[in-house]
Amino acid sequence: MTKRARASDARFLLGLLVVTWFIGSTSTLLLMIHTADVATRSRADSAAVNLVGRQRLLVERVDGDRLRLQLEADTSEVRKEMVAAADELDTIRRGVMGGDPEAGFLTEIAEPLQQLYAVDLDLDHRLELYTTAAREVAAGADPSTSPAALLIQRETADWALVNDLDQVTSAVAADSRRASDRSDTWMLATISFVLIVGVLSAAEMILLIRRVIRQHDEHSTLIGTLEASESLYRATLDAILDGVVVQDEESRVLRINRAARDVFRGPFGGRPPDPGQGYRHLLPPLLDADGVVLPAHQQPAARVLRGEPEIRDLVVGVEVADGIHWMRVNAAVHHQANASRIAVVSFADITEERRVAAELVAERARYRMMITHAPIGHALLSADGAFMEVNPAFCELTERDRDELLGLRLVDITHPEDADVDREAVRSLLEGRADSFTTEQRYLSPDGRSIDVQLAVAVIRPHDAEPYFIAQVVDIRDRKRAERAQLEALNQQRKVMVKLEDLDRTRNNFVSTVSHELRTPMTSIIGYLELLADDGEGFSRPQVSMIEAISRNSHRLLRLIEDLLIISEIEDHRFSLELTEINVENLIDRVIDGVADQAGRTELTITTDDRLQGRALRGDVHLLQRVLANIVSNAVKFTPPGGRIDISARIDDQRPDRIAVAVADTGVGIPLEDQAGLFTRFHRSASAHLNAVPGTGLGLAIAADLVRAHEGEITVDSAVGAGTTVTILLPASDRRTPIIVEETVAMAETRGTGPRS
Amino acid sequence: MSKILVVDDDPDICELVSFKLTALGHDVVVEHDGDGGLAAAKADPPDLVLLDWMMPRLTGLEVCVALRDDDSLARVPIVLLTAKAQEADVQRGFAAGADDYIVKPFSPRELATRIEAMLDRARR
Repeated sequence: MTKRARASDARFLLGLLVVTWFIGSTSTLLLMIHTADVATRSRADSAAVNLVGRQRLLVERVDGDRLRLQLEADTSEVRKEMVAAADELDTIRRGVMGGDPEAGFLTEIAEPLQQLYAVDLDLDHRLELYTTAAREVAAGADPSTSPAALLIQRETADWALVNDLDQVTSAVAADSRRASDRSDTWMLATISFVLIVGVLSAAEMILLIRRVIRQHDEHSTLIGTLEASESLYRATLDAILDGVVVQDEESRVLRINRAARDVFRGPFGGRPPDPGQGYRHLLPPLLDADGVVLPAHQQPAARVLRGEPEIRDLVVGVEVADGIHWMRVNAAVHHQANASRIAVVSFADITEERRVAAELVAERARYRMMITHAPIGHALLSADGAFMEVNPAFCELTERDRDELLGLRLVDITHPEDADVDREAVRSLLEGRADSFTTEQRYLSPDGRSIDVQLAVAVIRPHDAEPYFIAQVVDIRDRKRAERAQLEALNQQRKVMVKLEDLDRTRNNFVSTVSHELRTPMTSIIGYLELLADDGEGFSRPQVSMIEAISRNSHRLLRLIEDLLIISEIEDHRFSLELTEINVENLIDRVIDGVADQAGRTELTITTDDRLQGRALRGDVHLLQRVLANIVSNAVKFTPPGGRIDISARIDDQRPDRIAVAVADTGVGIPLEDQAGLFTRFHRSASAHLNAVPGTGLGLAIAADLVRAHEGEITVDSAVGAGTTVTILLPASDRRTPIIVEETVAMAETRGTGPRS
Repeated sequence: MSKILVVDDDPDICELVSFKLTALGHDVVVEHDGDGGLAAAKADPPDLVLLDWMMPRLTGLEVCVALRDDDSLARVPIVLLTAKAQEADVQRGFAAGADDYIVKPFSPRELATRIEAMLDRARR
């Protein structure tokens, strides 16, 4: 038994040796894997992957796209395990030799193997296969034809191992055949176990490699998926318009998207230097809303990482080359699977928004200032006339405060009499017939006084809202007061004027009445004097002389009365011209007849222009006669006895439609300073006083008035000592009139000298 | 020798006129208002009437019209003697039926001349 046992031990050891060789040969299996995928993704030249069961997969770059994978195992350990396994197998063997070999072997061998590799392997089928193959071979089957061996070969056809397996199988088979020759069943069993163990080890190797390959594939797939997801993630981040920055617990930038890079620039261009570690830079310090640099612990990332609740809509500044960009910042912390924390900070650039908002605010402020400080009242009114807004000037004007006005309508503060005035105008605005109107109206102060205003209203028609009105109101009380005062003054003036006119009329009536009344007694006086003169023989010479003096003065008085009457008529506009065609020479003759007595020793001559040829004047014969009489009478008065008076008539040189009648004397002449007042009523020249010439100073004034009434002109040309020439220009008639030979002397006398009223 | 009716409210004028006309040999009857003048003319038709215009009660113009309405007096020459001397006044006077028009103040000599001429014409 001892010998047998030794022999069996020796054979068992031999089997172990075979197993050891087998493991040694397979444990240095080299696999050349053509994998461009792995080569391009991995940047390192070599890497080692620790596998379970103290094995390592070494990956080494061979060249461009070829990697060498080397699976390393600690064989000493394996060897120990194999010894342990052999012990177990021995036990199993015993089980096989006795009792139920199948069940005990399969379950007992599977469990330790599973534990050994800690993998979930479905070995049942394979072990059965290998066992069958081993049995077939042991029973003398050719491994190349054994169905089980062929199945193993097919399953492992891809692998170089198969060759080794073949060799092993062949060696074992040969050995088995030799053993079988000795009909030593124990030997056969031993070889079978060796074979089984060897096959099992090989199978485990195959499985292990497969698993490594699978793990590698899974890893590749995972890397591919991760790469794809990373790429999508980056593209998504870059597509976001807001800046997004991911910061680690030291606030270093891990990730930054394009929008943020555009803002922060600096070290954040391109890809991060270390994909795993990020940029290792901090963000430039952010500023607070006032532009002051925030301390490090107040930076948004630091705050959320410190445990503050997430930040929403914080406004910060970023100092960039062209000034400060303003950002609206959100920040939150994210707890990663590995218990580290990252801060995710987003930045929305609101610089433009802020600028526009600030501009809007400034603009609104400007408008508000404009309205608030405007010296005229402004009000916004709704379509139904309710106050929507009023400015201080409006409040001041209407003597009501803003709160009160905002509860009122325009009509509530309008004077009842003016309320209807703009109703129609407002309607035309609302109906689109007009865009604005201006009117004057009165408002009522709270205590019922009326306030004069000028109101301008424009309608605003927004696209998306009810129309409303802008009213501008100007205080026109001062102007109205002034207008009223002016009106009052005007009325007063008018009253005074009426009064003055009345007075003037009264005066003229008075003068006219008095003059008429004076003429009646004058009729008697002059009449009786004439009768007395006719009865001349009854009087002594001195008495005749007295009667003549009375008569002369009576006529003078009468003339004065006539003058006053005519002036009152002129003033009262009571006279009218009775226009007829007048023969100039006849007119002059009559005048001369009238003054002949008065003229005494003064020589009177008449000169007429041949061009006249009977051409007539157009005028009122009585009035023109009076004009000429006054002028000639004046000439007579101021011409000393022996002097000459020449009356001439001609067509005017400048204007052929005028006839000029000139009265030239050789009298004392009129000083220049007196000439201006010559045609003024009651004006008497200094020479008249000096020469004690009687007169009222009315003659030339009346003459001038009457000439002007004829649309004629009167001029004086005079020098002291050189005589005076008075010229009147009168309209000529187109017609010619013959010289009228007077019917009777009496008639001529009456018309010539008779006074006229 | 003619019978002349002088109607004037101013006694001085009446006296002046009658003095002159009497001196010329006429028979002068004086009345001081329109009513009296009209009555006198109707009672004893004169050869010529010298009428003042402005008088109390009937005016000279009214007397003039009344005389012209009376068949027996329609042809008696009437001379208006008045201070009213506007052209329009003169025309109104003639329209009322006056034959002549003498403006106050007048020359007694001229008055006499005109009256003689008118009486001559009337006699013819």
